[in-house]
Amino acid sequence: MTTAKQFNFEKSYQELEKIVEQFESGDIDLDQSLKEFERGLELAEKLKAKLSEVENKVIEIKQKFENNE
Amino acid sequence: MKVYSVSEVVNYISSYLEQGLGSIAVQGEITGYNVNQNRLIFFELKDDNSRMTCFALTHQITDVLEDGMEVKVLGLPKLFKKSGKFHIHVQEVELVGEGALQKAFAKLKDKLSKEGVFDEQYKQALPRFPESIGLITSRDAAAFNDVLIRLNERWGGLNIKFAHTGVQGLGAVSQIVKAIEYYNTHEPVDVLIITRGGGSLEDLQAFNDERLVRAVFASKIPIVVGVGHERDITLAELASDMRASTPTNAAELVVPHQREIIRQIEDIRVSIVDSIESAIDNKQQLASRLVDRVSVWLSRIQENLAHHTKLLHTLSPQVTLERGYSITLKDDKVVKDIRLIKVGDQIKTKLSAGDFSSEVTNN
Repeated sequence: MTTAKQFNFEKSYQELEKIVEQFESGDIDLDQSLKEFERGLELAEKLKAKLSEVENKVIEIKQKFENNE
Repeated sequence: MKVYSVSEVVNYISSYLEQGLGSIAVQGEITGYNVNQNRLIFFELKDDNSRMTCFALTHQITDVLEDGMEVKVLGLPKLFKKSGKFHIHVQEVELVGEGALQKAFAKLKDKLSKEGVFDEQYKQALPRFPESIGLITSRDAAAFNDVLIRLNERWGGLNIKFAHTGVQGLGAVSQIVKAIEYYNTHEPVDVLIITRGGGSLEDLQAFNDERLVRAVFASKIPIVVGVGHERDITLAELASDMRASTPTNAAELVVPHQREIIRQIEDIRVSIVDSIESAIDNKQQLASRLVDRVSVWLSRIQENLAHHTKLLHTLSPQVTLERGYSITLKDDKVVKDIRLIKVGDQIKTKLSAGDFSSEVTNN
């Protein structure tokens, strides 16, 4: 599972969706929104960077699941 | 020679069989199937020449067994302590033959359906962007590679934890059930895939086994079951949180394609940039409209001021005098009414330039 330090794709994507929802809902106060805007761009970059990671790691679980009654 | 008691011999032979032979697999036809006290299952397995007793406890095998069914039994050879009777203590049962399997399938499907095991309301949503994926299948199956290849095409940075199990034959069910339990207790992942390729009803029967189906249903981790098949959907698929049509499809269901997500992110980015730009645009328009209105207001005020100044100027006493008017004063008081003056009064007249005194002679 992810640690707090690790970039959490799901959470970041959700945050980005919330930002665009606010922007698309219409009334934007320019002063408040500039910070959100920057955060949105930052998230978009981070998410795209995470997607450029190519490798999937495959490990086999050591535990055996044989019968034993 | 040493003489043993009956109990000693029974014990000895029972241990001798159990330890010497271990589990054995026997195929035969079920006959004399009956259940005692709701827990103890007895039946005989027979072939043309011989028969033997089988004993099981209800928690070990399903209740789909009936007389006449051809089965493979995996169990331990033992003697009962009390009767000294030889029997097989059943560990696993597998059905043999299309007929038995169809019957068992229909019976179990009906039973579980009534319990609600296949109901939509119990199905868990899959995580949108899983970070870790559990994979239960046989490493010898084509399904294994199919899943990995498709996952690699679609997404990166995944932690895939693989558990090798059998996917058919005696023992497959308990291996898969144990694997599911293991992920749920020791090796948490965001989503589980259980998968295998297609096969006959006999090949797929593990995926129609009550224990496996219940384990899928009970899992706290969402499970995608994908069985490549040409015919009926297995009960494990019906009980799963999402059914995949093939191993490859299972990989498609658990992760999105990164190409798609990159496009969505880009759309979002463009959308917020557009929003900010139009907000800035609006502000600028607002500002310039404001400036325009203030200008108009200011010039109106200026006009007003000029007008009033002009008026003030026109009406001022000095300017009036310059136009030829004069001011008449009697006793230094301005006279406006002729009735205040009588003949003989001394009056002073103020002109634009200078003033003079005079006496009223007649009016």
